[in-house]
Amino acid sequence: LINALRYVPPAVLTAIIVPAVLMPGGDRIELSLQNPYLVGALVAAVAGWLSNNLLLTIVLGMVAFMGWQWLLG
Amino acid sequence: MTQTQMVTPSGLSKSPTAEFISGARDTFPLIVGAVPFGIIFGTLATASGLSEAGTLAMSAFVFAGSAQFIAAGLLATGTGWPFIVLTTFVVNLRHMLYSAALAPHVSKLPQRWQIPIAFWLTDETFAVVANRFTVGPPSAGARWYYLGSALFMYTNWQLCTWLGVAVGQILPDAGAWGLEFAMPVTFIGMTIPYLKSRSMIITTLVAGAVSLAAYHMPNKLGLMVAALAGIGAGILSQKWDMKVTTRE
Repeated sequence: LINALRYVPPAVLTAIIVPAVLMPGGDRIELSLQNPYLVGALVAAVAGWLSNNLLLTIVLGMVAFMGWQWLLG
Repeated sequence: MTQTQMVTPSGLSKSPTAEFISGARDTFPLIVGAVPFGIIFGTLATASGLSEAGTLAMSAFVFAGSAQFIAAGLLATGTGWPFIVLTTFVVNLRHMLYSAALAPHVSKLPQRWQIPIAFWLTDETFAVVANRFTVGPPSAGARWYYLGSALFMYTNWQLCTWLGVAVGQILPDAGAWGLEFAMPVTFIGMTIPYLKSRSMIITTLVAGAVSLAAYHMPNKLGLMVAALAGIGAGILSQKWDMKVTTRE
């Protein structure tokens, strides 16, 4: 059981993240660069992977999301 | 790049005050993600028809983040309370799993500690505290570390909700700024440190895929189904890996 519990946080968090990022409208999957959630999530994932710094990951992800949203108008 | 800030408890000293401060300090990066989330809750909840007092009271007594958003969203569509209670119950079922993971470390604490720290349990405090319990030295001071993390999260949540309510009054369209991305991005940052083994990666891939496939299940039940599928896949792949290694 203790072993199974190690998998809880990444499983639950991913199950929240993926629909929020890929289905921002809540009805269909938006797998394109027109989706600022996807762009922000990719930037955050790369930043997190390379830096292993949580604060930097959040800030870069938010900046990418807001910047991309602004670019798309 | 061996460990993130989150995975390194900064203070390992024994004094309650020092433990309290390190708990708060290790929670700081996660607070940054919670700030916009709290503000947006304050603005969205009042915009979706909840009174200002009701919004503040929900943050004070429910203290749940995503469940509060969902509850406010359901209230706005005029959903009946039994359905809202059931949905938020399912969304927060993960706290049962978090509690089970922490139980070995807190089961000997007196009840006057257990009840408040159970109430103050969040995704963020769980991540920070679970790490303190497993990496740091076992000590009676760990409860102060937990309290430091939890009270920092709680105080911040109340202040941000209040700020959001105030912002909502001044700028009724603040919801369009895109602060709703704060939750997913924070969770991405929290998930990445786990992706260190093949079974963990399989867990997230399966949980992610199932969460999309099961998205339209009633009461947000898809979240729980996806999480359980991911956990199951991770355990299976771990067993498979162990079998392969022993055979070689």
